Amino acid sequence: MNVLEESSRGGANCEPLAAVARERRAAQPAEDAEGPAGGAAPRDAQPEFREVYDRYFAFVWRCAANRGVRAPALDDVVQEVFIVVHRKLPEFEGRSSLRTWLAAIVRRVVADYLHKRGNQPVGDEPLEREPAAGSSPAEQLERKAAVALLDALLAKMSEEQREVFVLHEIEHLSGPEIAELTATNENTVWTRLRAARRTFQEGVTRQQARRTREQS
Amino acid sequence: MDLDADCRRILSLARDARTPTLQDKARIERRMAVAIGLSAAAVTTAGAASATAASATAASSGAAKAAGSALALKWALGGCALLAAAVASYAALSSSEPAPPRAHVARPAVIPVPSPSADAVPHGLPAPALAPAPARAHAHAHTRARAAAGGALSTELVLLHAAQAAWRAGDPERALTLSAQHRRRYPRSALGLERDALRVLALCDLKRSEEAERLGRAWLARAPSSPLRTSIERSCAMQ
Repeated sequence: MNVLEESSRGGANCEPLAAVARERRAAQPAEDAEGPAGGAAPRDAQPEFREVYDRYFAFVWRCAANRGVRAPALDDVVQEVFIVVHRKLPEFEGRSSLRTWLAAIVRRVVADYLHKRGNQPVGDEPLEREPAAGSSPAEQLERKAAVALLDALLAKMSEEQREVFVLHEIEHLSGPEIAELTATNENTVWTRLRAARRTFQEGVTRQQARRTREQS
Repeated sequence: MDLDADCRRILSLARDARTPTLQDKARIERRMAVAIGLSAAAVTTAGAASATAASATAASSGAAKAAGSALALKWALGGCALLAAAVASYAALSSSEPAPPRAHVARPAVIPVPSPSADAVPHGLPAPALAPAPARAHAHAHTRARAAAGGALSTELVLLHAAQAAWRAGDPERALTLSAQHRRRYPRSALGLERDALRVLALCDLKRSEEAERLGRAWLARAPSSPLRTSIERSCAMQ
């Protein structure tokens, strides 16, 4: 664990969970306001870096985390993404949605990191560095369990299925956006998504059945 | 097939758990501000080295590029600094316009002052750097007003900024002294990598190549994935 993690962990532990929950919500106000189908920049407007950073920080962070970047490297990856964004933003012409453009940058930066590390997962520690937002320990546990289950089921998917699943089901990118990002056609996107959903649904059903057996 | 309600709930919980906090956002903002400043400065230094071997035209071109880089920094990080609460120092920095392209290559005129406190990050302020002059003046007045209104600057960030400023001004000795102070006072600083990268670059300027190499190698081992890696790799430490 590096100093960054220690300091952030220590700080967060000192805070009431409700404050953490508020912070999480406040970290992405504009993104939420935009809604699942949003993200396209006005074609005649050049977005400003500050605006992009504020609106899409949470999106970039989650995209990197859901691609397997763990806590020790997550700061570096997200920082690198926004440095690239800072450099490339003047070239952004609005041909794609900003989210698609950003997701493509995350994709490249994460791939680069994975490549440098011999395709090993980036980072050695679990992502959750601080108590998850919630009003009770039970809720914290539930969130932690949800992350663990998601990761376990993502690991059962192919790389292509995982990517489509995360972008559509978690980040709410549309089929055409994902098709553009992954340089494939929309039918392929939906085929991958169906397969990924089946894996996820079956995994959740299995887990719930197991839990029911344990409780009875 | 579609997912059932249980699946949706798990996805929602996992999404929420992986959504960053404002502290995460402010921390990356601080690190990015420092990283971009150092990277741009390193690029400009490299530009200076090549300019000595190139024609006057090429040197002018490099200088224009350096000035453009500084302007870009001012644009992007002016916003960061405004949205952060290091307002007093930023206002002082921002009071002068970026230098026009010059015949000689200099380090960037603008290095941002990163946010001193995650808790103090206000939201919703406009990023004014590319706005028309009246808007800029208004933003600066707003900034100064906020500074006057209070909000203690983080000593840590002021110190780090001073070290950067000294290095930028061609005083690597002072940059080293200040970064050593920073190291003593904040041995577990979240900006430790950025500070130590600055130390490597300052040691190079002082021709203390062996120390730079030792520190640079340790730095690279510590931060294999840092965006500042290229700057260190291109410095005298790795030559």
